[in-house]
Amino acid sequence: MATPNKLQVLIIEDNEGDFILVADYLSEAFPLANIIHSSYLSEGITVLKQQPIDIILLDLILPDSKGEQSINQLKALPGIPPVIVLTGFADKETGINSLKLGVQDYLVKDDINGAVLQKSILYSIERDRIQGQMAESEKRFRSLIENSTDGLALLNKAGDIIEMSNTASKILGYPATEIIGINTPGFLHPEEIRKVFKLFSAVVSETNKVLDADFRVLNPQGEYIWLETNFHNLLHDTAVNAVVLNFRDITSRKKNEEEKKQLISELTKSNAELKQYTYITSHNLRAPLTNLISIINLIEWDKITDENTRILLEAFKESTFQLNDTLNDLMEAILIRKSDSSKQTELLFSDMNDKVTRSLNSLIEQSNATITSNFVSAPTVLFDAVYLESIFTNLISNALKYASPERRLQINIESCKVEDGIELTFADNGIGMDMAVIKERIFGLHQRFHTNSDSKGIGLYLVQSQMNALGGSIKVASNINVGTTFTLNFKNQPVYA
Amino acid sequence: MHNLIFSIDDDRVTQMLNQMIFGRTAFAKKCLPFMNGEEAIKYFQQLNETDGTPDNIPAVIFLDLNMPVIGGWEFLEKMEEKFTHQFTEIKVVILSSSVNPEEKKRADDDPNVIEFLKKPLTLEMINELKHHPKLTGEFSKAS
Repeated sequence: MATPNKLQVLIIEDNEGDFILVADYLSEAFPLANIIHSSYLSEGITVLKQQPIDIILLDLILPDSKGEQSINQLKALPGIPPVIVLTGFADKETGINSLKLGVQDYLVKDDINGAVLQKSILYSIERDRIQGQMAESEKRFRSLIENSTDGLALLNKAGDIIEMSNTASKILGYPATEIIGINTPGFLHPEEIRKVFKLFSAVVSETNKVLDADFRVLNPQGEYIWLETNFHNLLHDTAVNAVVLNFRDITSRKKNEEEKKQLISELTKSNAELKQYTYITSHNLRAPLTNLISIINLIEWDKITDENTRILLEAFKESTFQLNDTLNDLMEAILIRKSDSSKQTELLFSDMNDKVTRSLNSLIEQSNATITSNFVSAPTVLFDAVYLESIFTNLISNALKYASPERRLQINIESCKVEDGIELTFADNGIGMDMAVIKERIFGLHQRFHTNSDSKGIGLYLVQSQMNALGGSIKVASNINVGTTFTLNFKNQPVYA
Repeated sequence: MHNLIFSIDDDRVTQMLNQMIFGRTAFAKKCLPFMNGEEAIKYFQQLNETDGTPDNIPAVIFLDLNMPVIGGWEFLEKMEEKFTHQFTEIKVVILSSSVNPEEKKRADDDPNVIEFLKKPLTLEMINELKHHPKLTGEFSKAS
């Protein structure tokens, strides 16, 4: 806008005398103002299209247009500057009415003087600017609401929707003009009517109260849609005077949740059945097996005189105990599945290493192995103590079992911190394995890759089960006649500052 | 030595072996075998009708858990319900191959159960049982 002194003023006035009078006062009020004169409305409109104008002074009786008609015509133009209406004394009523049509002010020609004109023009321009800003801001706000992916609705105290956004109408499937609300019969799902009413009355009863809820509403197609909603009581706010309801359609999410729930309940059921089945199977296997053991215990060996019978019975005894060991191992593997994280404690790797090497002492001495370890960079781990002992035992005895006859066995155990937890490695220089052949089967149940007589094919299976049960993992790398390295990754470790 | 004990187990071989063990350890003069809980319940019913003497009531019942018709737990419930009076005097030893930890817990919570033994039953187990604090009194008198 130009500064008041350099005002661009358009005077639309067919009466030459009136024009001169107004122009005089104008020059008095704004000496530098540029005055453009049109005698016809059409002429004035042409001027408006051609150059920027700061204010229009409009006579209401023109040769080509009169009163209200002139104002409407001007107001229809885009970017119209503020308008001040000039009336004769007889026309004063029209002037007052014209304010309702969006003009900024009216002046009775006989009352005009420089001061009145100056004040009216300055006020009009300022008011117009502020109104423009408000309209702009309102427009932006509307657009935010209308283009939001959330539906927005205003509810009265009774819970009827009195206004809703386009998105709201789109989500609900009802035109914005249709009066619906929580009182509309059948709109809410029968299972949630009570819940929604309770929630709404809680919201209404407290100023500024905000509450959330998920519930279903019926669309015009007769389908229920799930809404995630948020009610905000702004009844006290004179500008809003409503409960503001924000909502989005979560039907597909709810459907997924429902399917997931169904799936989990089915899995839980079949899991429980499986567990039961395992117990029954183990029991049925165990019953005759315990009898066999009992029989062996009751045999009075010194009374057996026949050598052949004695040998056969000895073999029977050995096989029976083997069968018993296998069954016990299998049971142990099953029980791992039931473990939970509650038994996890912080354990020192060095303690565990000492304990296990002590218990395996005779085996280690027998194979003349050296075991080195380094737990400096990650001395502790959060894990189940029984599992960790079993892991150390299994992996060390595994290395002892598969030592190379050509060299002295060396086992190196190390821990270190990695990005997602702690890594523990067991490296040996034993006979190794052909990983291309074995692959991941190494951790399978009853997989045996050597014709070693005391291998039952369960140790590594147990290690993997124990790691997996507590969210960890195990990997293996191996080369024939070079050695094998097991890498264990412990996840969910506490973070230390 | 106990005058009378029961062994409730559906497995014939187990019954035979148990008999042998009770005999060799001199744990009881007589061991009555029952193939399931229901047979044992019937015994107590008849006892009630014929005004049975304490001689007919076992000191100890060795009880298997997994049995057809009436299992171990159901047997204990029925005994508690129907023969409350006699039953308080009777000690129960669970003898099971179950590895289910919940069963062990249930046994610990049962006032009648004095021991949960894992099969197979051995001579050592019975010899130890002779010194069980809840049994010794009766036992040392006999032996």
